[in-house]
Amino acid sequence: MVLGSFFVFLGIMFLAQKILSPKYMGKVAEGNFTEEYYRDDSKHELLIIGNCEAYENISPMKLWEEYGITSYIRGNANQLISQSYYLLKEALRYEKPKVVLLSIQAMTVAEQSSEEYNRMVFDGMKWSADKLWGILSSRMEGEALTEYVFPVLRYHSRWKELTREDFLYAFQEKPLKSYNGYYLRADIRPFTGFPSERRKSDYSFSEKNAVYLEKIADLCRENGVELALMKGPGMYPEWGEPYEEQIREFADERGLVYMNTLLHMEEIGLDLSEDTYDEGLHLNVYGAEKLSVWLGKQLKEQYDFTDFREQEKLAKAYGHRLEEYRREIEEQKEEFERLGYIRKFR
Amino acid sequence: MISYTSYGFFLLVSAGLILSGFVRPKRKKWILLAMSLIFLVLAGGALSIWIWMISTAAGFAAAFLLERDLAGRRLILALAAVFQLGLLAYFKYANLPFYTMEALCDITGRSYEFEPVRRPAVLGISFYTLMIIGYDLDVYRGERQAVRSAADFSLFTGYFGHLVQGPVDSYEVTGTSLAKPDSVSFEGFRDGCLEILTGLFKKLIISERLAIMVNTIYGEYTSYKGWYLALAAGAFSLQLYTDFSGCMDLMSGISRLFGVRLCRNFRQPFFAESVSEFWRRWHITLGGFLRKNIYIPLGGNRKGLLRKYVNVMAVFLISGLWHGGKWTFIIGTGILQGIYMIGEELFRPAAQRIGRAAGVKTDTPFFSWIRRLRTFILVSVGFVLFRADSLAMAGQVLGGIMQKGQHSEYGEGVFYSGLGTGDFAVLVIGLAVLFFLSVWRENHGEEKIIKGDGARTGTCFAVLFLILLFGWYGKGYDMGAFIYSRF
Repeated sequence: MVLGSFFVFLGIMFLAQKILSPKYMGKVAEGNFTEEYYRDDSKHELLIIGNCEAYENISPMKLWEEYGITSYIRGNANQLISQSYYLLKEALRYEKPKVVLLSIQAMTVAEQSSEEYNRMVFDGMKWSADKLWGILSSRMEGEALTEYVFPVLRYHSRWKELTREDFLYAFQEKPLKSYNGYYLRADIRPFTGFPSERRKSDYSFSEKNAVYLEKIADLCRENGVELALMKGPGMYPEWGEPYEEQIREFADERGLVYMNTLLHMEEIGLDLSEDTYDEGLHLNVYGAEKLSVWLGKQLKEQYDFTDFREQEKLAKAYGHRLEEYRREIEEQKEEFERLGYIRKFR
Repeated sequence: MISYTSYGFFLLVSAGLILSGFVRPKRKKWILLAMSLIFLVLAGGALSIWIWMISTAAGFAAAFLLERDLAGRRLILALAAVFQLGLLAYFKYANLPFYTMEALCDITGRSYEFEPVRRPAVLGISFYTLMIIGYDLDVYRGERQAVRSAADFSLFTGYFGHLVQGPVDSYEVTGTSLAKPDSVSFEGFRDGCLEILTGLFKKLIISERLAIMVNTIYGEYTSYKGWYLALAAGAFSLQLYTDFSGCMDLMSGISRLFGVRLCRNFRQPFFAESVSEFWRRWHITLGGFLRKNIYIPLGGNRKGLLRKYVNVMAVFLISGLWHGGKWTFIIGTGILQGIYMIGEELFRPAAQRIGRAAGVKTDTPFFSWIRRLRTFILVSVGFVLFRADSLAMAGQVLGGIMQKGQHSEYGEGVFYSGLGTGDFAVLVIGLAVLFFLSVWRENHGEEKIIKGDGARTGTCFAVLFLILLFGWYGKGYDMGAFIYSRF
């Protein structure tokens, strides 16, 4: 009787957890990105790791279309360097890319600013030692490991805000929200300028970030993977010269490729009156495609990437996804031109 | 920091239960002692453990001296009590003179500001101080022998189950039970679980939602008037009850899992038909301690009516003072309650005469409920002071209740109380369930509502599910802040 009741209880809790866990089908889509990686069973020669500067600025679809590079972005909102390390470590168990491209803007972020970001990084991650250490390395004060083990404890209060999608996608596979980890935005909000950079008294990276950057470099070396570093073209004046010097020094010491796209805006062809959807913080798809074309060229020059466009199986899979990608761009573009905004992002 | 409703605490209890499954019942006390020390360190910090050790050692040693036929026993008792109370006063009443000045200024309409003396909080000091004094007094009076085992006595004073919100246990009941825990049957274990769930139900389903209402309205008490303030006052009484008694149920249930009995601290207090009855049903162990060690030694009701009333006021003054070194406590849960009790005694004969003359039968269920409502209102007035930051604030709240209804333009939710419709519905259902359980308990005592073995097990899991789903806990919410832990 006790065992029977217990199993019924477990079954009901499992159901409740499935229904109550957020589905991220609205404006906030980032909560899906970690989990979507497992749904792509192809291997990637380029693995891009980082925060929004990675998943909003680089289009793997464009890299495929232009160069035949297979790539995936393991990125999340405000993804910390330590979290990037554990996501990379996990990914290296599934595949061995030729190059890992790390977006290094997160080096300036010493601590997580909101627990929700952590949840979006880890909720979709499969359980392993990497997930456990990832959570422990970045959890905020008051954030309980128990709530990662049993997400229903974290999301139980959502019973007040359940929608049709919560029930629909409780047991049904969700539609993909990213294109190989890329977050597609085709709306435009031109860059109008930011206040000038506020000087800081201390530009040194946090000790933890420095340690994890070293760990990422070591991990890549141990796995025979090339590591490249990139600073995205975010216009917010936060990337001070001392940061640039430290990263450049690190790259030089380690013999790594480092690309600061802020120094190549013209060469890339970015026009921030139309290539950004949030006034210069992140690129929209038009900007991301320009950046991807430039980035692909740099990477091709530095590394020996294979052009997989002739491989039937991959070409079919990427071709199908590319078709969806183009369709969504057209849909968003049409809606934006008609309404001046895109409903799902409001 | 660990608290009674933190995951860490339940992990500690689970670890203790697993370990106690491997040892004989008489060795369980060592596991309980280890758990208590861990709890003291994690919840109270190093200072708490030092003060607890000093208090316990002093109380333990004093009992040995008090047991002997020494000439200076009375002096030893006085010194032991002064030492214990001195420690309590040092940590808890450092600001009493300033609060007294503040209260006087509130009354005279002057303003008075001061920088409070900051003393670190010492976990459990209010409770074990009384328990130790009570134990020493028992030995002094020859009612019991001094405990020979330092471990047993340490477990009694430092037991995690009564450290945060009481009860003010006696060695006779809890001390002996801790020293020799019973073996636990499956039924006993399950009933302990049900008691834990009852506590969590009161705390997480009801009390925390009431807290939202109370904090919203009290947070802007000058913007609310009339029945909104009355609603907050009533809600606070219920919040205090469900919070405090919920913690007692939780601790009593956990103790039962280890085969330990705690003293009962509540008996449906809001079913009391008079204030004096209320205080025999509310915080029973504190009332029992004060009655045994203050009221009766002062003469009780054996030295005339006037002396009796003086004794009643002395007991309530100490009760109020024990709750905190602020005059809102001293008056709200002390002096005012004493006045109520004396008033009840003085006016009861006249009220009965009037009732008889008018030919009204007052021993009917209807009049019972009227008297219960009256008691609730009277007690709630005291709790308005208890909740208020100052006497001036309490005065404004009580004055505001008498004015025409008005709500804050910033208040959201049902009755502008900050509580959304869904949560308000859960609260109402929760209160209805609690009311039903209380009526059952009042009429049937300890008789179980659900009797079948399978049904009780099923109820355990069902209630656990409801608490996990509808409980008010989680991110951005401090589950551990039980109201009575301040005392």
